[in-house]
Amino acid sequence: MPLLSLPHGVRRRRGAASVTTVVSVLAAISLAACSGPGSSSSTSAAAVTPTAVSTAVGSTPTTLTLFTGAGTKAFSQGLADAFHAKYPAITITLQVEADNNYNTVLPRLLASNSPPDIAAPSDLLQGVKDNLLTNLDPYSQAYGWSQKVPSTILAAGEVNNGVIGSGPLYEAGGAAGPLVGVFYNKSLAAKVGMTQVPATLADLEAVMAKAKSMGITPIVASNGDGLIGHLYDLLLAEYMGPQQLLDVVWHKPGATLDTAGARQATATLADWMKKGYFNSDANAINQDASYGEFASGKGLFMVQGTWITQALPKAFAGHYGIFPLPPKTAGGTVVSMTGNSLAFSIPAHSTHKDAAALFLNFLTTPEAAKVAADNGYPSAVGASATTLSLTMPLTDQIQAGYSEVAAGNGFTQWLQNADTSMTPALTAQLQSLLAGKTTPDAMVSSLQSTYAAALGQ
Amino acid sequence: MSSHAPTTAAPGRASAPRTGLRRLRAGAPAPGRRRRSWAGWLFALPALLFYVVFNLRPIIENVQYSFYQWDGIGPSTFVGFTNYVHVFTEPQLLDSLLHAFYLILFYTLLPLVFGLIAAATMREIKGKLTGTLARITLFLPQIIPGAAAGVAWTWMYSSNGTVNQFLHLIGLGSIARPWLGDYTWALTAVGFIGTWLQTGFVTLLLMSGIGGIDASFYEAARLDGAGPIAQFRHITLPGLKQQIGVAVTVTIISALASFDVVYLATQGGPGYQTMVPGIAVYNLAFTANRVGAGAALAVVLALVVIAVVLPLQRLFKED
Repeated sequence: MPLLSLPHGVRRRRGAASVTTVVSVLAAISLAACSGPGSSSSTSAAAVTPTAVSTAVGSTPTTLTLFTGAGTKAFSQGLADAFHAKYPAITITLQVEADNNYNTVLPRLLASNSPPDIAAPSDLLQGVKDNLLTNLDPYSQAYGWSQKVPSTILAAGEVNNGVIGSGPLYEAGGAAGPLVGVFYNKSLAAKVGMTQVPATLADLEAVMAKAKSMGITPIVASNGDGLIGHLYDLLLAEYMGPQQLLDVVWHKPGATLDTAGARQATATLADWMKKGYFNSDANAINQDASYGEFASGKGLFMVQGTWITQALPKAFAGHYGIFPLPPKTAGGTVVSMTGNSLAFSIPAHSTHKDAAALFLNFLTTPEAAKVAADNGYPSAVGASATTLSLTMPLTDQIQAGYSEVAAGNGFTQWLQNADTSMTPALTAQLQSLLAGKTTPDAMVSSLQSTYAAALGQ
Repeated sequence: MSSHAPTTAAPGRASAPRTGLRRLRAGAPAPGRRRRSWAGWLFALPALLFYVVFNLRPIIENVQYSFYQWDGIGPSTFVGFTNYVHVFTEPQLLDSLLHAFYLILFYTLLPLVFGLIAAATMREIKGKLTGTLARITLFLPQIIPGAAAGVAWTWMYSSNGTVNQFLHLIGLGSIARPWLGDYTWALTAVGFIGTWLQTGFVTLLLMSGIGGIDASFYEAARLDGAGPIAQFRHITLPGLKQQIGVAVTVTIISALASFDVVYLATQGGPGYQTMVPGIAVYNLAFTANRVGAGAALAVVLALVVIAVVLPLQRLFKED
């Protein structure tokens, strides 16, 4: 592959001079990029903290852009419509991206000169580090969010020196999020004689063993995309403790994945694999295919988040339910990963920060909470305590399960959220574990080394 | 991709380009020697500008990035050759390079074998309609984008897909499995998608070559009592040397630099079993936000491609 393929005649006579010209042009071009790629942190830091904020923008005609994944489009549209109904002068248009491109596209949009005005960053720590997100403290004071939203909820949006949990606020809004738990097929549950919610992991295993003996696949999972990770994260939270997992995700100093709990959780997953509790093609299929298999009665359970109620076939509604993963021991902590679906950030380069902050304030209202609940994102605030049963309707099950987790402080985060490099690492490790090609101990060590490398340790 | 290879493999005497130039000159109003060459540059300028801005510049920038630790957005740190050390010490990155070489078997060797058989067979097909039909059928996979083929083949390889249905039908149900999720067979399964895609291209290329072989050679051979196999060995194969060279070059590049088919079919899984450099670069740069490491692997990949292709160019050069 010659770098410059010039016609022979030309090359012979003017070769040397022409090459010099081209090289000098190249040099001139590359000189511009000589100082190392990326922005320098000092120049863009100014955009992060707004100096003068206004809350009286509800009647100023404005168009805001809200960035959303395709999977949560209906939810985002619901929020946009409810907001517009309250403030008719402000219109919110959606910028929709395919879910699997979300993490790749959003950081680059945030860094551009025309970012969306409202977005939920896929990596809050990196967004803050790169000066891409607005410091919301002035708005929090102006609107009094600390009085409206529980401090534990706000803490998830606070970042200080690369650690989440305290410091300036960068992501805020209301308080509602998905429940990740065990979806079950009602008719198959009746077939295997599951008449009540399993009280412990052992009870759940007993149900799965029985299903297996009857020729029913106990758990439908998609792991071509690594989504058996939902179950894995739940097991990690149970065996490590939800706060310990959260410490890892939030980069708390000293937090480590290399614990006995993590190894037990991994061993449990490997054990279920060995017993044949998963569909045989789990490593080959992606989430959409797993929805199809579950909805067509190919398996008893599917461990997923409540956002999939928007994606499961409408005809399947009423034929399935959900309960949180049972605790290790009866009465133990019930866990779930969640994210605040009602919390958003304002990109540092947004030109409509005041109006966007008004939207964040709107997310603290009951109107917004209702939109969230309708889309499978319950809230623990103001919910009445009911015990989850297999007979109650799905929305009640979601709310009861969510409240149960909230009551025991069992909420935690996906391990993948610790760092962007964790996603491909975890997917590959889970696939290897499911294929029996790695051991639980080796998997935990490998994940810990990826985590340590990501933290620059 | 396919455009540069044929020109590089063009005959050493370069008679064809000369004629082209002469025809061009005849149209110009008798220019002098100096002005003539400048006029040539003028014509080339727009294309050259695009080439420099959209081809050379990104390559140079990529090389530059490979010496930095950079998350793609924020400030960057110069780290020297650290990223290259990673490429050669992280086992999955090194494995990805080996996988790419394994794919050459399926992207180059098999298509070449199938293509030679198909092209030689089609030379014998006399009917105009059957000949056209056969050509279209063989070339069809080539006009389907690799990404679409990747999606279609995930269905064919799934538990209840065509491949497993066929295996059940012929009594081999015991080896049926979700191929793309199988730890041992995933890379081979991906490879066969490549075979399916490349065979049409190789066949078409070889057929055009066969068309250029003087028919009297075959006639003479037949008179001397050579059968179809002897004709193939002594006339078709040597006559196709250049086309085979082009086919090998192009398909090896697409094997080493494969991305779309593998990404759509397996994303490099299960585990790292089908991880190829193209996907590793993408994962590093855009998923893990390690742009420097991704750039370093891309540089290594480019060097590997050049190191493999350049000797081949020499091998297939007509002397």
